Amino acid sequence: MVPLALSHLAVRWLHVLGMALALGGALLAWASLRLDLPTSAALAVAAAYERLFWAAMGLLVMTGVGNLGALAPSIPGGEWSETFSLKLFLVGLVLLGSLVRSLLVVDARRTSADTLETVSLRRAYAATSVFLGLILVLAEVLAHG
Amino acid sequence: MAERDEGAASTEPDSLLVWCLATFHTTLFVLVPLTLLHWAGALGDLLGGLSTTVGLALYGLLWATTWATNRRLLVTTPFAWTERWALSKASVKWGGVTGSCFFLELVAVVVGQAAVAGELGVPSAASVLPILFVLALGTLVAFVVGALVGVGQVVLDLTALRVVEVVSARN
Repeated sequence: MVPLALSHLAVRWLHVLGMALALGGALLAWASLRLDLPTSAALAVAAAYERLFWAAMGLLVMTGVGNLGALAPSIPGGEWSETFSLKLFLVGLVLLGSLVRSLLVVDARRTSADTLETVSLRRAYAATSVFLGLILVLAEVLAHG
Repeated sequence: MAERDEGAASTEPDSLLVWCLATFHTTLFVLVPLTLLHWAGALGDLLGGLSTTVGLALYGLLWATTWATNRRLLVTTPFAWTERWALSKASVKWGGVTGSCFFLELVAVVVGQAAVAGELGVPSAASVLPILFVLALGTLVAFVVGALVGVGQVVLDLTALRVVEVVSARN
């Protein structure tokens, strides 16, 4: 069996990695779409990010539960609990908004690449970055007060 | 979104769409009960009784199962607002299948853990029938729960599809 402290450390490390990929990727996708890239290249960047984003979100939720497990059974209440509720709410919003964003990319891939409307996607990546940034701030507050 | 003709029902679905939908459904399926348990103050007790390794393994199983069932759904049903009724029916069906499969995987994990720990004996002939009955009943209940989850998920999927249609129409 893996020692408990080691497994908790691995879960935390994977959690941080997941956020780094999701947030860093969103910023990169947003910056790439601001450049005057050919449509096919912009679409390739967007599609690659969508695959990466959902892998990262799956990893974040999975390891997030693992992180909570390290605190269990005495999960803090009070302000910590309220901050955690807010974080869960924002994660839910990011998931819902990201489904729309991903479907925009899927739709753009299905239709002719020449008709790709980058403005909507650029805004979507900017919004994703902002919301993930807020979640990151809340995660810092939860971890360090 | 993906408009397909009747003959296209057996074509491979877009792997990006399968990946996005499967992960969205899995994460939301975990996040919603997690939030409700947190609000009810019952999260600590539940997680306290679950080992990290088993928890991660179960999540991985759920993710893989959802990917497989979502892929099957998209092979047979176009993911399009115009096909919302067919999509709703398929989501209920494949949500139920996901629930039943996950229940059986859960049983396999529990039995496997007991076998590894050397706590698994050979069941007597008289106990085989009750065990099979409980398994069948559990699979059925899991199908109903999964189908209900499928209803919730298809509502969100269709809402997202509608938003995409509106945004695409504006552009």
